[in-house]
Amino acid sequence: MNVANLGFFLVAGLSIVSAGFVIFHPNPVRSALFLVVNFICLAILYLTLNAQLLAALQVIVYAGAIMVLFLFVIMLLNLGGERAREDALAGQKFAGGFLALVVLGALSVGLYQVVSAKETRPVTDAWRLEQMRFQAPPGKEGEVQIAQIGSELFRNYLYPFELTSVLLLVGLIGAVLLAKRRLPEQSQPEGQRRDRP
Amino acid sequence: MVDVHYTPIIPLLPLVSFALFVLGASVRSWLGKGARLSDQVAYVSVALMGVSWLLALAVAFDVLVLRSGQPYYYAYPWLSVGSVLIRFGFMVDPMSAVMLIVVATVAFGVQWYSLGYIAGDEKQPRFFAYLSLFSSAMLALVVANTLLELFFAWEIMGLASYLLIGFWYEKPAAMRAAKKAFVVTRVGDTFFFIGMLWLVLQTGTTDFANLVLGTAHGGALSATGENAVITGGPYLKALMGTTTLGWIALLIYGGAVGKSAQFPLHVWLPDAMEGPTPVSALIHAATMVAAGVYLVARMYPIFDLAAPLTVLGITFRPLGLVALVGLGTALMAAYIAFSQSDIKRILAYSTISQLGFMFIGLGCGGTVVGENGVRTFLAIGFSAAMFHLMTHAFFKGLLFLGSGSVIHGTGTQDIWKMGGLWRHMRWTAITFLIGYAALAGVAPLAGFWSKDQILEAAWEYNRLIFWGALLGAGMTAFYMTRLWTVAFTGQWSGGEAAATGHQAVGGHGQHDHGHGGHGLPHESPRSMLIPLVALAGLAAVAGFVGLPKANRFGEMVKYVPPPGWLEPAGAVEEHALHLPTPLRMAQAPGGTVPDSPAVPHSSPAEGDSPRPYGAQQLAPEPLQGGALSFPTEEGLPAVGGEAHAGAAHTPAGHHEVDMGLVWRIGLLSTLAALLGILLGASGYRGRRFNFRAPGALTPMESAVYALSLNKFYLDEIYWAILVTPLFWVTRTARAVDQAIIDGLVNGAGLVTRGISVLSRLVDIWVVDGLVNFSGWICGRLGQGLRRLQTGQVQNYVLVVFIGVLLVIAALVPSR
Amino acid sequence: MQITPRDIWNISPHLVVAALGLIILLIDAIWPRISKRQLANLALLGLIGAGALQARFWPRGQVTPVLGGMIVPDGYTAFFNLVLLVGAGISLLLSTDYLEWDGSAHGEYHALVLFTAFGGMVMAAAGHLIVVFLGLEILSISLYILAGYQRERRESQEAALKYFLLGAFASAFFLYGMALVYGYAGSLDLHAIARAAGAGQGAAANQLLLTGIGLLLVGFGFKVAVVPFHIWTPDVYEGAPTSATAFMSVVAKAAGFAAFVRVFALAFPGADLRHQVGAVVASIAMLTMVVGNTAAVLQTNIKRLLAYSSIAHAGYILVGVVAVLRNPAAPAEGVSAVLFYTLAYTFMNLGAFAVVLALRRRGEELLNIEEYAGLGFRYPWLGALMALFMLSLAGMPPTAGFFAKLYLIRAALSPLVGMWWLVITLALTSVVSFYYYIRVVTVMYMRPAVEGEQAPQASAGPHLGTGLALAALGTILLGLIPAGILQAAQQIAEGLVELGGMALR
Repeated sequence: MNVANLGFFLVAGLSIVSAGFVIFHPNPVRSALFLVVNFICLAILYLTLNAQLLAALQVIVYAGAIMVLFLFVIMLLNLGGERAREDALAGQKFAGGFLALVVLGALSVGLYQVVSAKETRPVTDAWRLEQMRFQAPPGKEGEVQIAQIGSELFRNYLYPFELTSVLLLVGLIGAVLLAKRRLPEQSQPEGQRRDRP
Repeated sequence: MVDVHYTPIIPLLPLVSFALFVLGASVRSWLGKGARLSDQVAYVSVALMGVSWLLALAVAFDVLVLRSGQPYYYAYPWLSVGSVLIRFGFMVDPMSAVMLIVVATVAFGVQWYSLGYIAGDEKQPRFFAYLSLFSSAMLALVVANTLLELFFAWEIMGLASYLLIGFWYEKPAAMRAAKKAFVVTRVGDTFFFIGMLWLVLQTGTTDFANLVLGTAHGGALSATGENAVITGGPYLKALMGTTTLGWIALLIYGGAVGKSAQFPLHVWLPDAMEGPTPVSALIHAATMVAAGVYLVARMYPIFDLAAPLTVLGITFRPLGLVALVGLGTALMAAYIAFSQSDIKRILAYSTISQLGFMFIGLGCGGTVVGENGVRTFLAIGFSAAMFHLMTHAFFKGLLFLGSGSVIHGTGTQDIWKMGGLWRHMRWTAITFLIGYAALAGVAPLAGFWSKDQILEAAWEYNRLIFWGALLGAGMTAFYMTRLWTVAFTGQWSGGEAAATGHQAVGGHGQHDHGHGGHGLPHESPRSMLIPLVALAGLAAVAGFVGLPKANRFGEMVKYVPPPGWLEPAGAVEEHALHLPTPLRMAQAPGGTVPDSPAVPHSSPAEGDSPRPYGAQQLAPEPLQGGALSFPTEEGLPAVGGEAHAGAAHTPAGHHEVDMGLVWRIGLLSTLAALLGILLGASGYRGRRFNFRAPGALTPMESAVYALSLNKFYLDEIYWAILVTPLFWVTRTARAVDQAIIDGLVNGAGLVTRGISVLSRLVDIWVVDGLVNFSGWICGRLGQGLRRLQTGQVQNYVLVVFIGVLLVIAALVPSR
Repeated sequence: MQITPRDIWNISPHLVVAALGLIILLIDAIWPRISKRQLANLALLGLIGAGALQARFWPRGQVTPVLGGMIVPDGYTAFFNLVLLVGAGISLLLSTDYLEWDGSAHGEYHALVLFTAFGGMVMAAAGHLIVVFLGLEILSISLYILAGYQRERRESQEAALKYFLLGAFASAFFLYGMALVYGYAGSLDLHAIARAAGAGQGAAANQLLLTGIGLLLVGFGFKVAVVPFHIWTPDVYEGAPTSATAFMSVVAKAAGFAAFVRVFALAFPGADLRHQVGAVVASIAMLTMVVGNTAAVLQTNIKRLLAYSSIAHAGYILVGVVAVLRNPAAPAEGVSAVLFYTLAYTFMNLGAFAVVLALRRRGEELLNIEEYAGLGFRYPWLGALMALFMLSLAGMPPTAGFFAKLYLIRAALSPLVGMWWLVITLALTSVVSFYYYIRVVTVMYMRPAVEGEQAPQASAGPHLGTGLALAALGTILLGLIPAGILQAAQQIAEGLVELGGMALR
């Protein structure tokens, strides 16, 4: 076991532990903070995979922007500890946990089998091409990668990229529509529906 | 000159009156409550139906007489899926022509009758609209040129029937009955639907010209007319003698079982009597329920040309099953009819029973494979069934209309509350008597001839079925006599008012006519009587088109197996019959003799040149030179003048009218009918068998009464028949004898009634129970599912999660 | 890759719809007092324009993908895009009256409808799983918002939340499935996946690929509401505004099946693999038909009834998918059956909802089936149309529903599919379905009408009337003269199959 491997197992272990805490910690603020830890662990893993840009994005976008938003909301709503909820089905929590474990087991067994078997994966042109695309040429690794991602994003993936903008817009509309208060001065067309509160 | 080209208009006219109603209703709703469409819609509807009727007669005349049986066919491309082209069009062959006459006549009569029957009801326009919709669909069904089109009409007909059964929806029973009828028949229709699709997949066509008519031009009969007889069309060749065809036939038969109320799907028909009586007459007696028979007849080659099927080690031919189910249904329904007291229910069970007879006829026709593998053809069954369908439509329509008139006049449906109607409703009674006699099989009336033909067919096919059917005939006579005796003879027992000792049977009748409190029964208005008289006339004389020696009907409406079918080419090996057709075709020498149709075939009766389905292709395009081995004008018997001689020598069956047999069967059936009538008359004269009112008479009175009754009848007849061993008992012991006879008669009555109640119970508990049980299962399942639907999103997530696991577990093979 | 004008032309219908959504948002923001009816009219005009553009691709379209393989502007795309446009158009027509009556007519509604349609069109056209996913998300998020559009009704909020939570759950599975498929094939391009899955010897035994396919199945299954991923449907259908329910019931289903069939027909060649996947899909189909139909029997609320009915119909369409997967000789038959069914379903289901939308009772929606008593005589046209739609949904001739089922069964009956029990299930469950559809008709025609204060009121303005008429027209015409559409569907399906063949070359 070399140093790189050791590092991997350390970081990976930490990420799993922190993920567990995110779920199980009763205090939402702590929970969110553990999420930050988890994000950072993932960023480190990206780094070890030679994906510097992704690592940076992970830190900036997730650990930075999104987490701040999360914490903001949690503070704003002033959420305390999780209230025990009485479920309609007793033991559902355990059933859910058990099922989650089953899925986890199944997926990891499957993945392990695939990884351990050498030639189950078909080596096709597409596969090679895809490999080559992100194979950084020797030398200035980081820069080339960014440029490549950029060019991929704005060439082949231009349409999906634009689609995400529509997606965000829709989300925005939803947030506004569902959260905004009805303004009294705004002349709403009053309906004749009578069964509303 | 009105000729066959007017065919499309026939179903269109009633549709127009339906459309008028729908438009009228919306106009009414625009104009508001005040403006009501009054009787005008009804008159328009009747008038249009009348025109349609005249057209139907003209078309039928053209096909049957002027064109001497050449079918009319017109179609244009409707839709095509892949290689399957379905044409929308019209076909009138002799069988359709007969059906046209029957349907249009009864429909017209019923509509006319309804003018009086439904007068004053505020829903009158609606009633006529539904009737018109039904008539339109039924007429379209009859002239359909493809199975798909037939299915369309079939379903619309079912819808109209549903609407009409539930017409008096104020009665919860009517609503339930409507729904029951719709859903139960749907079960059969689903099989029909699948069978149709299977047939399309196998043959690539649903066109009758391709499937069942032996025509040179597979796709379309030319308007000039080609001789085409029901024989199995060119597209069927590859399937002949296969079990596939048999399964398809059984699936299609499933549709007929539902529509024609055969066991075990007959349960809806008695309940359907909740509808107005003209509806019962039109739909649930004369036409729609017979559509199942028509369907099997239309698809007859598919039933006949199939190989026998084996299920659970029992090998049977599809038509044999049809006959057996028909027999069972006929006997069962007749038994049940013994104990009914509602006049319409008696008639309903009688209808089921008679439909069973028609299926016996169909089932006892076609090809039978003997021990040695030789196929013999039984010719009469097919046309006998259609013949019975026709006569039954007339006399049963008449009986139902008559019962409507009775209900109208008395305000009750319980025969025990009637009585003596002969005196009060003379016209109704006379016409009813004719219908009754025709149904019972009294000699020169219509029912006698057609029933005898069915019996004849059964005799040829299977003696057991014959005796069963004969028993059924006797039972028919018995229950109809019971009905007649109780309701029409004796004294008026006071209608609903005289409910002492009688329980009202589920409260029918309140709606079937508005006025409840009756004094004496009164005769119905003239508009109701005229159709009665007309139908009575038909019921009396319709049988004469099918006399044994001059069977005009059988000449026209018949099925002939394709040549080569009866005499498989090559040596008749034991297994040759079970070989797939291509192999048999390979053995065939034929198909190479291109003789023109103008050259008469060598007499097929001599057995040479069997003209097998030779090495022809399945080409739908016109074949030149008459290389086609389908029956052509010359090869075929029975069209035109010397038909009879031809029929005797057709390769399709060496059926010669054996007059000795005809006489014997006629005698036997008359005897059976007579026996039934006498038993019924003696038993119910004075209502002796009124077990329903045990307290009506004191034991003493009852005994005295019974004694006097016995003197009258049983002395001479039953005594001789039933009590021969006691013949030598002394004159002084006569009273004792009488007691024994009495006991026997009563005992027989009790046993009969017991069986009848039992089969009614089986009906209620087993069949209804099954239906209800499946409904219950659905309900429970639904409730279980409902419990799953808790509204809790966490539970939902769990369900989705389990689903994910299941999908993956199912998909990924474990190693 | 350069984006050429030709590419733009090929995706022009999408662009029109998306741009229209933006324009409507802007107009609504600039002139808040503009009549929402005018906005709806504008949206309709735009949809017609997009339809006209899309019709240029009818029925064969262009088989080569554009925009770097992201979009395939073929006939299949054209068909589903037209279905979606028609669905969105009729839904807009149905919604204006209802929203005004409800007092919640905002411009956002129309914009969201357009964005939903846009998402669906993207899904139908996608040649790449990323695009499928993005389309799916645009469609889903718009629908979540539409479900919660009536902010003041608790049921509506609850519906939105449930839909959102479960939808996010399903999206996660879908994404995971994509990742696994990527792991196997090294690409998310459908053609590339097809090449990889076709070339790999043990594709049918590869856990990675199979798990990925299974998770994709879950994602699609959720969108089109098949058992056991249907569980959200009744609550959401009931809680969402009725006009939105009508919309989502047809658009989500059409878009979901569009992408479903394309992905599964194209990306996973190889008879073994398809056979295996087909078997699982068949079990799901059977379960869906049974559960949907039996659960519908007990419903008393018309929206819940239609929810279960929509589940049942998803089951029927899945039978077509099975026919696609398990009939290597003629997958086009199954594809064309699915195409036709989707179109027919769009018309008849929207029609049924249109009738529901037209009815009120004392200032409330008329949702209890028992309250439909006597409707057939009080409002002959509405009653007759409702009966038409119910019978069509049940599959009675001569309506669209009949032919739709006919072609499905025909495709599934092929001996190569070898699933006669599936056909039997379909047949038997549709008998069950008759029971609950006919119940509506029975109540309308065989119960005395309620008079007076409690009597139901119907109001159909020009918009609703037009929508109703279009739906009825579609239902009847597809039942009487289906030939044209059928032939087109056949051609389109063959085009898609041809495309699948190209993928392997």
